[in-house]
Amino acid sequence: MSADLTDQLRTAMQHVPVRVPPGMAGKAYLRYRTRRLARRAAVTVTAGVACAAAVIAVSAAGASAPARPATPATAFLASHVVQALDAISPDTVVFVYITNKPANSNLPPQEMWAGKDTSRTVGLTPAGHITTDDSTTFTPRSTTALQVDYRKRTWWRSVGPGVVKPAPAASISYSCSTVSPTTMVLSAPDMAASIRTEVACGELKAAGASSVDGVRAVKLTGKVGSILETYWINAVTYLPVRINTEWLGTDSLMREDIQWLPPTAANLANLTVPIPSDFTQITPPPGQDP
Amino acid sequence: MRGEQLQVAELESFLIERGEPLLRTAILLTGSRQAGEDLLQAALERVFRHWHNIDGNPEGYLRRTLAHLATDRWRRIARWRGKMSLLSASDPGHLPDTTIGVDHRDQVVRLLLQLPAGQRTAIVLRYLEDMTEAETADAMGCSVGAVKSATSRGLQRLRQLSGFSLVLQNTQTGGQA
Repeated sequence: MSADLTDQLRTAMQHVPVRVPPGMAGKAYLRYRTRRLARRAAVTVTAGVACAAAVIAVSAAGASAPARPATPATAFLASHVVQALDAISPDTVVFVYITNKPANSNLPPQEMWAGKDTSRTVGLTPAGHITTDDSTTFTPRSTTALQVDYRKRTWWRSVGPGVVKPAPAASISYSCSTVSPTTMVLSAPDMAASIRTEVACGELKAAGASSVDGVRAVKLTGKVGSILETYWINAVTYLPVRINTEWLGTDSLMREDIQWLPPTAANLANLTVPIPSDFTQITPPPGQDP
Repeated sequence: MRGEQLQVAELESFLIERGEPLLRTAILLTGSRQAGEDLLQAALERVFRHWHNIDGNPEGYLRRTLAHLATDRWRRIARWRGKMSLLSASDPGHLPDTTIGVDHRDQVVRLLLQLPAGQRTAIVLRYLEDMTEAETADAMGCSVGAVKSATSRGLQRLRQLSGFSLVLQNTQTGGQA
């Protein structure tokens, strides 16, 4: 191993056996989404109602395509939804339960909680057993990520620098060209801005009444490219309670059931990740800095 | 979040095609299968974050990100050095084979993993990824001169290690290696 060292190296490295575990992209997406939810939650809550109003104004002004006028029913419903979202308390705890069809997709069910400065994501098996439990907590001085892995019976905590909150108007800026299909809609201002822009762009329309888990709801629906999206809006509070995203021409569907909860002790407790006493603490894996 | 599920599907398809060489690079950069998978996972996460800035095939972006993340990590966390010393013998991704050729390749990789992180990164990027010195410097966030130096010192060290290894082998086999 001297004269042809580099050739031997190349050959040796090329023959390191590897097998890519299935679902890596799905797992990376879940982690990305968790972090994004956490950041959104931090921005949302601190910025409050003024933030939402500013965002909506900016997004409406920033619409890059000519807005088609919404029908009176759509405009009435959308304006009430936006007002309801603007009016929620910054201390609200948001709970989202996400399921995907077909059930054997790479994205298992998830529970997500977002509070004032903490977000938590619970990964589940299709049968409902916990696989992972993550949280991210933001303070101006530090950001703390915590993960409990129920399959490996381990947990880790990682502390990073605090969050420098972006200016409200810059944090979310939707336009007709960007509101979908790649926009995350996870916090109240996000949702308000997204719906407002989609309606302004003529993408969502009122679609009659229905019910969700016994609650009377009205629907806003619209097609964006090959994706059909439907919002179920609580007919009393005008807050979204369900969002369905369907990929037309496939059997793929994602359903998000949303609850807007008061900051009671019980609800706030759901933002905390319990660490089983018999689990082992490990060093945070690479790339897991908060 | 709508179209992001389409991105997941696209990326899964991409990984079926090109995932193995990427994971191989990640394993060699980090020194173990688990750390390599974690590194690739972190790079994939960044793909979602910067999807709109990635023009077409994400492979180039992923390769650069792997190198950036690995070197960044190494710079900040010295204790990682200990983890990267050798591939674990129990690592199912790197079990030695019974054939002499495979044994030898296994030995070469083990020696490679004994190099300091900077030297190993330079060698992996130069000789596995076939990057130019300039591309390697860009990926590592250092100068071309630093890449040349790291590569040269890494190869020199490998020659020393391989010589030492052969001496050991000779001793253990009665000088018939």
